[in-house]
Amino acid sequence: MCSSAGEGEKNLGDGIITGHAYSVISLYEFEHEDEQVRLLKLRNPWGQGEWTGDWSDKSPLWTEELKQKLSWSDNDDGMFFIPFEAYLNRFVGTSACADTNPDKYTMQNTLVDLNGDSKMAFFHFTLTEDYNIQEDAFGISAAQQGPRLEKYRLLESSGQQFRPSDFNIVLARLVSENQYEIVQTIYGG
Amino acid sequence: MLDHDEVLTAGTYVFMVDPIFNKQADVDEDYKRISIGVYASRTIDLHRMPRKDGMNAIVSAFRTRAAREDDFDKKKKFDESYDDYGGKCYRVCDLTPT
Repeated sequence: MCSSAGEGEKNLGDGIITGHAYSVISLYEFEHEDEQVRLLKLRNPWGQGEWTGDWSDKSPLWTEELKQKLSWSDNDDGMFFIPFEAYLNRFVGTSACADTNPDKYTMQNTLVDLNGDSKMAFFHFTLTEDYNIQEDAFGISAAQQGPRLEKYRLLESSGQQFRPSDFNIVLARLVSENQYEIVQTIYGG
Repeated sequence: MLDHDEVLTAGTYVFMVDPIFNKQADVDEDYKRISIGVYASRTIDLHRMPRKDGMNAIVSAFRTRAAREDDFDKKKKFDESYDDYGGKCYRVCDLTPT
């Protein structure tokens, strides 16, 4: 699943609805006219409303061979292809879950502003029972929010293309008074 | 961060999120607004910690790890071509709890 930038659900002209969740159906990478192309196939859960830029349904970039290979169709069914670069500029979060029982899980989110000196953010939480990660998934995520879509478009028109930053995350457990031990570290966010 | 080997026992945990903002994050300050989430099969009350307390906890965690780690084969020099580190510090590659 992925979520587009911006607040409120508006179509600002390129077919992508602001503040809206889409399904990521599949990813493709291939060579086209001596250039490496990376596409995502997304679905608007409304069943209509699609990206209208490069590699959209009516884009002249499609060849007959590629249409067949990627199961292209020119229907307003909410399913569309979008270049990876355009995706990065319009979507602020991408997540995947392979659990067969998603109803049992919860997701807590909090938004922090890491401008200036207070760059790192620290959190604590308490578990009252043993938590068996081999059976129950547990995740900590960090993602940049970015500016509203209107600003994205201005940045893009000035030649700026967003690339996400990396994150370090360290999880530690309290073992005695003021003494912690590392449970896991990760680089990449 | 998904861990398939650990069992989180009852207790108190702290975690640090440290962004390595790239140059493009300077294009707009809104890129430094970070959504931090915890995904779990039970409700977890997440509390923001003051920077000083959080840093003390993380420093303690690394000290504990360094004190317990006696297998120097698991310690590896940072890439010396990395100017910020050179030969000045080591990292523990395998952080599996002992």
